[in-house]
Amino acid sequence: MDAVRCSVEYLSEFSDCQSHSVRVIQDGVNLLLTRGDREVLIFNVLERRVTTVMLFEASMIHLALSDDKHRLYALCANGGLYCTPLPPQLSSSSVQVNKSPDSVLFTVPDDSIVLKNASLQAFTIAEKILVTLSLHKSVWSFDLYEEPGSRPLHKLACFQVVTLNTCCLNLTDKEKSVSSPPVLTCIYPEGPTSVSTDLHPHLEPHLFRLLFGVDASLVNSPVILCGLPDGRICCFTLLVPTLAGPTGEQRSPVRVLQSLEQPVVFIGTCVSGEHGPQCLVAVGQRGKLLIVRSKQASLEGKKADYSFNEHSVRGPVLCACVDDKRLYYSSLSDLHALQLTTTSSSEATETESQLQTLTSDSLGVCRVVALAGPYTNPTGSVQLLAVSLSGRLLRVNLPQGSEKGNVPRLPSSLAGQKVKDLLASIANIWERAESLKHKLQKKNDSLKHLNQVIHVYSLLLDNHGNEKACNMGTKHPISCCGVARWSSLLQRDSLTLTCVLENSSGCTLEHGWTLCIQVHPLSKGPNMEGSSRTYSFPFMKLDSGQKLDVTVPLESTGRLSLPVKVYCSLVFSLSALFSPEASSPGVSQLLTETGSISAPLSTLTVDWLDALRLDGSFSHGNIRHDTVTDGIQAFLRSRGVLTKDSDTTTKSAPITVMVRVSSELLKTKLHLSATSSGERCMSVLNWLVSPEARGQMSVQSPVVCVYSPDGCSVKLLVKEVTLGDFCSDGPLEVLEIRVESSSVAAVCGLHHAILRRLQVLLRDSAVKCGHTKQLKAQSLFEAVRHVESLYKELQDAQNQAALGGTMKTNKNSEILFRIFLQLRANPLVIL
Amino acid sequence: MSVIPCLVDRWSEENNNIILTWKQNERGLEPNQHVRKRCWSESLKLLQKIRGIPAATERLELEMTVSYNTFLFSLNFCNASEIEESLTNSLSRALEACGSQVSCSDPVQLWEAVLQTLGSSVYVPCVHKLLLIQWMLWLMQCQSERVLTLLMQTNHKREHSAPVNLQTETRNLALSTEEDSSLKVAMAAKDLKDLLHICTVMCEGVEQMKMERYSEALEAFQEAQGLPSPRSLLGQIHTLTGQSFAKLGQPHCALHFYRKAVEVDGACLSALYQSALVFRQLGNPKAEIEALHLLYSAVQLQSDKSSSIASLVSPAVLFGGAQMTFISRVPSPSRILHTLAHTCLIKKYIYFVSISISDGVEYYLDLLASLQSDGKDLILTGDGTSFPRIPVVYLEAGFALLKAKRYCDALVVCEEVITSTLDFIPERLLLDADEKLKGADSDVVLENVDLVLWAGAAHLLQAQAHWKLKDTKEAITNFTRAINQLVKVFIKQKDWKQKHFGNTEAMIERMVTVEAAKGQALAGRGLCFLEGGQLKEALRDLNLSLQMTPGCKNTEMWLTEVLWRLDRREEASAHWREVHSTEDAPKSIKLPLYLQLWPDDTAFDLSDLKKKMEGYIQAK
Repeated sequence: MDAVRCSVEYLSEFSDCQSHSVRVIQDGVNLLLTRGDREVLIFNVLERRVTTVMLFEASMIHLALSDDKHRLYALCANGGLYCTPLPPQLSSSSVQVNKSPDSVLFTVPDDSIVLKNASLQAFTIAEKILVTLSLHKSVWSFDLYEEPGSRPLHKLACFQVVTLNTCCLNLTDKEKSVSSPPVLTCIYPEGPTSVSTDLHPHLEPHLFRLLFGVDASLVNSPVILCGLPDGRICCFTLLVPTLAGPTGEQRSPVRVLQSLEQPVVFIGTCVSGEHGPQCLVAVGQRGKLLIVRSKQASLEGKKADYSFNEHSVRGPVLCACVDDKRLYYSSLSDLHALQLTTTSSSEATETESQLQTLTSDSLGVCRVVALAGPYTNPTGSVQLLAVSLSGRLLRVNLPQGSEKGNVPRLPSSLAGQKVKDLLASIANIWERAESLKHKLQKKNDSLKHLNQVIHVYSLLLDNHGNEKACNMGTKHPISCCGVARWSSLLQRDSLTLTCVLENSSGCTLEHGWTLCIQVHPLSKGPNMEGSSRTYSFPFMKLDSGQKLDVTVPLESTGRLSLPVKVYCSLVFSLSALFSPEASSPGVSQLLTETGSISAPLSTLTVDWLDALRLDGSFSHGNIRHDTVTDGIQAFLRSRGVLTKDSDTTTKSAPITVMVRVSSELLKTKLHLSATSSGERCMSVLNWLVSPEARGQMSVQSPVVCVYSPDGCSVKLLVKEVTLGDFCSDGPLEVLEIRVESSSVAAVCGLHHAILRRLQVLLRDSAVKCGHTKQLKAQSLFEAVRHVESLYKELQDAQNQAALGGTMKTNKNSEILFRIFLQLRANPLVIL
Repeated sequence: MSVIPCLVDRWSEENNNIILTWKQNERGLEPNQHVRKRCWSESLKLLQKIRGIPAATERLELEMTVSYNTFLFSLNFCNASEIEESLTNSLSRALEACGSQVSCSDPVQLWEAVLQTLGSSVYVPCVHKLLLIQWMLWLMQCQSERVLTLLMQTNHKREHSAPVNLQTETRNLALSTEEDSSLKVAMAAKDLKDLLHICTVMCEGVEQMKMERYSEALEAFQEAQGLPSPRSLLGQIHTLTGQSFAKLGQPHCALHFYRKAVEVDGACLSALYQSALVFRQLGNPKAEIEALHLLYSAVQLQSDKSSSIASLVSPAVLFGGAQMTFISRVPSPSRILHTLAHTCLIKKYIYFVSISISDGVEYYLDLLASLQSDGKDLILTGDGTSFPRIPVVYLEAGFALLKAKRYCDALVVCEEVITSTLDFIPERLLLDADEKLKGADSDVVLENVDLVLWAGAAHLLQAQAHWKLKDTKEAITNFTRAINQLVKVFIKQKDWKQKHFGNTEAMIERMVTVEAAKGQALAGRGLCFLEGGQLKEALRDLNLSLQMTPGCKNTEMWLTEVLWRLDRREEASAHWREVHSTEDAPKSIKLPLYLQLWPDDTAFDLSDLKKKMEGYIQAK
């Protein structure tokens, strides 16, 4: 909870970096930056722009400033050590450069190489001495040159250290040195007369003396510390390197201080005390942290000593820097601030100090590959400059309040409470996250569902638009077709309509869909008001390729009135989009009014022809028994007693109506293949009686006796006649469809049905009729005259009906009936 | 076709202009390194232009001359291998121009082909110029074998039966060095040849010296002396000759040549240094100190002036780094100063040479100042010797100050040593003589003993200073501190003086020194007690002191005095006689300089005691 919060500013962004050779040096407001390529950028922090680009010949390995900060030394991958004066605006303000907004490109000439040695690995400058470290044939050699010197540089001295061939570390030297170059650090003893150089770290005199000996301390000589890739930390006194050994001989100036056993990334000093930094800190690449502290001499006069404390932080450590109290280091994933505390030996034992030391705070900045600073800006906050792997230059503002680090740790009871709080808040957040996740899931599901619904609708609307095409036989993705059937239930036959909803589309119809079938009688009888009925069948799921069969009765309130129009439609209820348990009341309220979308599927017509019964096997209950007499008659009929009916059908001779159609027309329309006239007649009859079974012949003769729904026998008969005088260009073959029945209702109904079918047939394919027949004027005239006479009679009858009153209705109906029969008996030929 | 001669003219003119600029710069008072760089880059550009078109015999002379100039200019800016690569390129082009194709890249073979093809043509002077470059490059890389092969190839026409020897080959080398006035060169081939000749001979000599074949080396140097050479080089030759003589055991001849060297070249520091070494060998402290003093002044003068070498080819470039350091090695100023100061004191207090102590003190103060100043210089020793440990230098300075009666300064200097060593003093330092210590461990032990010794000696010197300042109380305190420090070193075995330690003389020496210091401290405290009249304490301390360092005459005397005062006259007279019978007490020359306190100590007037004792003995 006490995580250090820091703010990060993006100062600039450059291209990607090479992690191992990114270097940042801060010099006042200017920042010298290299990303491991050929450029050294001079970045002005105040103006936030690159003022100068120094272009070198090869990619950069290491950078350093000379003691007076007037010269830049750069080690490049070609083994050349370049020394170039810094551009003038850094040291003094040059007018023309400052005015130009663009950065100045400055190519470093190749004659600024002061040293060329391909085995150079690192260098540093102190006390006007250039110290280089090179690796040649498994010997590390430190070379000291005069700086600034003539060219070639005057070599002052050379010390050598043999590389270590320990098994634990032994990769090939080249690989190692490439992956992690050695680190050279120059450490000065802090003293009253110490040189005020901010380029190099200082160390308090006491520890300095203990670590580096009496001689360095007496001469106030800086010490060069070198972290080699094999993990050893070597040191030598820069100014008095060659001192007499104990036995008077010359001894090697380079001494191994300690080995981290992993490549050394950083060496510095930390924890400022009264006389300067009190700790020497070294950080290894794999996270080993070495802290060297002095142990004060106790009162008994025991020898003062220093202690090496090794700790471990999570590696890999890419870079590090220190300020007074903290070590900042960057693993790839985060930037950490490690609190290093001042523990004098009197107050803390070793273990305590170790515990206290390792309070590392995450700063939450990732992928930092180079650090500069930290430095304190005028407002007092501490800032770090960092370069990320992706080439961003960041300024990390560290939180103020250095005393925060000194706050004692919480007592255990409070700590327990804090842990509890923390866990509770974690649980809360988890719950919230979970519910949000659930909601999101539901929303997604709903959207998916809705999407599917809309998809289905678009399919259906397409259907609708192409209805004509569909009628021609192409299959709809979602279709509904119905067949009227007689079924017998409880000894009573009833006409039902079986609808089949077939989903041959690619999508599944999920729950929420309803198949609606509306049955609407077309005839308007006196009792037929509001007799249309709707049946809805909600279903849970209809997978692609599945079928749904539903059966609806066609009779309403016990009466069958044909023809009936059936509208099939698919309805989707929007409330199904919301799962019932979770839908908020608001949404369901909104949905109550218009909560569904409906799409028409198909429209069917059930007429008398559909309702005919071929077999004649009546179950006796079918007979209408609207009245008591009907019931009695039905009973009697069932007992086999034929009684004389009071109906007109029994009284009079059967009524005949006739429809004539040009046989050629029917042949083309119905695609009849039959050649003989008998077969042709059978086919036509078949088409009329059982259109759904077009292939096989359910009717084997041109005459068929069937029963109408009300139980009357009806004779349907198709025959071919030749009209000799009808057509001018020869005799015309005409199919005569004749309906004979004693029941007027059946005859009328069937006639209407036949005409409707023909009408549908002809309407749908009217375009194809190419040639017109040349009709004989004589026959046409006769036909017109006949119809005219009938019309006149009808008018007379109407007039009389209008004048007469109710008394003469019987007569009138007789007259109308006669006209009807005449009209039907000798119809016009449908060509 | 008419373009080519025109190009040749233009390029020749360009070349001549570059050389003209260079010559003017060379003649100027302030030779400028930038001019040289400019000349180099211009002539390099010219060379690249010439190489841009196929090689042809018409342009061969021009091309080779420009190459020669470019190589000379590039000496300071490129390394040898780069120049050599370019040289190989030039040779290949020369062969190409003559129509013979040589694809081998080995320089020796290439040269063979070049000399065969062009050896008798008009291009010989140019070829020989490039040959000089090749010679120079191999000389720089110390490849005398290859130089010999090359020169033999050149001399091949003359059949002589003399043994193959670089010196003779060089001497007999006949190069045609005629200059073509139309094509200027940066350095005349003859000059370069002479320089190379002498440097080659010198190199030979140095190699012989390194192999400790001094007479052969002497021959080489004597040959070199006969050759025309620049002054500085001649000075170095004389110095090297002197060094050879010194090694051959002829110090006076050596001195003679060193003198000649300094006469020829006043800045020949190595001659001064070497003569100081010879004077030390000869036991002439005054001359030695003078030589060192001269050397120190010269070094200081030289470090002031900028050492920019104007000449195109300097011997420093021709000799590889290692050879040059061998030839002109001089210790760093601090080292010289210390040697000078140390020598002054040693001569005065061990060899009793009458030298003014104030000089030595001044040298030490200079040295301390140079160690402390901000503009520090790196302390390097040229000749494999090492600089003494810094606390030792401080103690010596303290000692010198004490001797020069600058007691307060001595106190301050010793305080430095005390504070710096304080942290290293262990509670007790137990040395086990039987324990075998190897390398680093024994070094650690010795270092610890040293630290205790330095701290003890610093206290001892402070006590002396206090005593001289008549502050007896403070003196006793410091003597006690010195004793307390020194007794921390403790050896397990009692008979360590007879036995040989795991390590050795160094340890024995340390222990002797520690014992001597202990003895001096005890004696000093005894003397203080004696002066303060605490005779019992004085007796105890003086007795202990004699146990530590038996045979110290002064201590014996004081003991006699104490006994006398305690009215133990018999014992006193016995002591007296004993002291006089063992007249020649072994001198403690092996002690470090800063512990050479007592021999001249006249703090206590012994004549009184002598009178008393003689009177007593006669009276008996």
